[in-house]
Amino acid sequence: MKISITPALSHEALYNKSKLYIKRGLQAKHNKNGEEYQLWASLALELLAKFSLSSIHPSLIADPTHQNSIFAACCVKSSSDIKTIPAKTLFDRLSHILEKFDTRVKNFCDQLSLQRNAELHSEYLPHLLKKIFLILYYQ
Amino acid sequence: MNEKYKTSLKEKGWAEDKFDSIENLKEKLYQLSQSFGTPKSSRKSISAIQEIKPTRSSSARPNTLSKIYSDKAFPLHVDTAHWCLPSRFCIMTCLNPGSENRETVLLDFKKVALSTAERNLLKNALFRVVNGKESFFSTILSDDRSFIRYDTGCMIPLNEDSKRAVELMNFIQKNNNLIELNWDIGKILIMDNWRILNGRNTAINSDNDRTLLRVLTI
Repeated sequence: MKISITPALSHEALYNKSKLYIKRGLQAKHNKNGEEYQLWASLALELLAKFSLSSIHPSLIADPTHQNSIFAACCVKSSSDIKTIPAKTLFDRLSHILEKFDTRVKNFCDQLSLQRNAELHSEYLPHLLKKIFLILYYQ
Repeated sequence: MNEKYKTSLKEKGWAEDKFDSIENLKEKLYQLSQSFGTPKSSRKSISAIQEIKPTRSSSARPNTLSKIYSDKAFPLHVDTAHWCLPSRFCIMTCLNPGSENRETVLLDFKKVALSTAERNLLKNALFRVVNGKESFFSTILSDDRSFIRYDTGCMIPLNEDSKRAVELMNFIQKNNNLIELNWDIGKILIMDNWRILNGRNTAINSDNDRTLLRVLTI
């Protein structure tokens, strides 16, 4: 049966979630909690990138190897289990369609995403993350 | 779609009529709804033709207006606000107006005068729209869509801005002339669910015999 787009792939839902995470990040910054600020910022950035692609078509962020997600991107629902493309693919695709999303910005986003994963999935301390933010800030 | 309904829906956002007889109202309503799109049930477990009765909080489903307001008055809301794309039309008829004969109230949001600051608040204040695994974040209005999303039963304010947005919606309800519709058996109400907010007036005594039938279309 044909349905409306699932929230996981909806550009409006992705944009609003990104906006919320940006607010949470700014609140953390205001509270001088730098690490939390960076974490929220990296999550918001990925959501914002997904929003940009999903605005063109939701299938651009659906995991191509996951059948349910492809159907969901075409508004045909088979399950609520939705998988999206990894951050690296996301940023590759953005650089393909947005002129201003150049190599410098793409590298920044890739690094931020890697550092975010390091923060979430290992014992690694995200010193580089701070450095990347400082570089971007002073650019 | 009937031309008479089309004109009324375009001008007012809603239309009313009456079935010729009160026999087989369910079938007639379903048949009528098909000219407004594809009927879709609001939940997987129920039929596309839903019986709506005042329900006490104790037996209501979570994240519904009945859970909050029980069988009392319902504030203005749109139906299926918890769907990413809410239902396009809501088509209703009456099986029993109930002992209190209480009205359904409507407000055409297209005709509500809003200042730029108020409109911006409704466009930016974030809510969590609760719908199990399909929950998401949304706003009441958006530049990217033409419909209004508002239902305090499933939309949880996330911050001070969204609490102010709810206050504004309450103010709008109190300070606009709401259309009050009385029901009788076989009466038809068709609402453009993307612009009409609907609610239920209060009753002095319990009227659990009030029974409406509703079909939502996409």
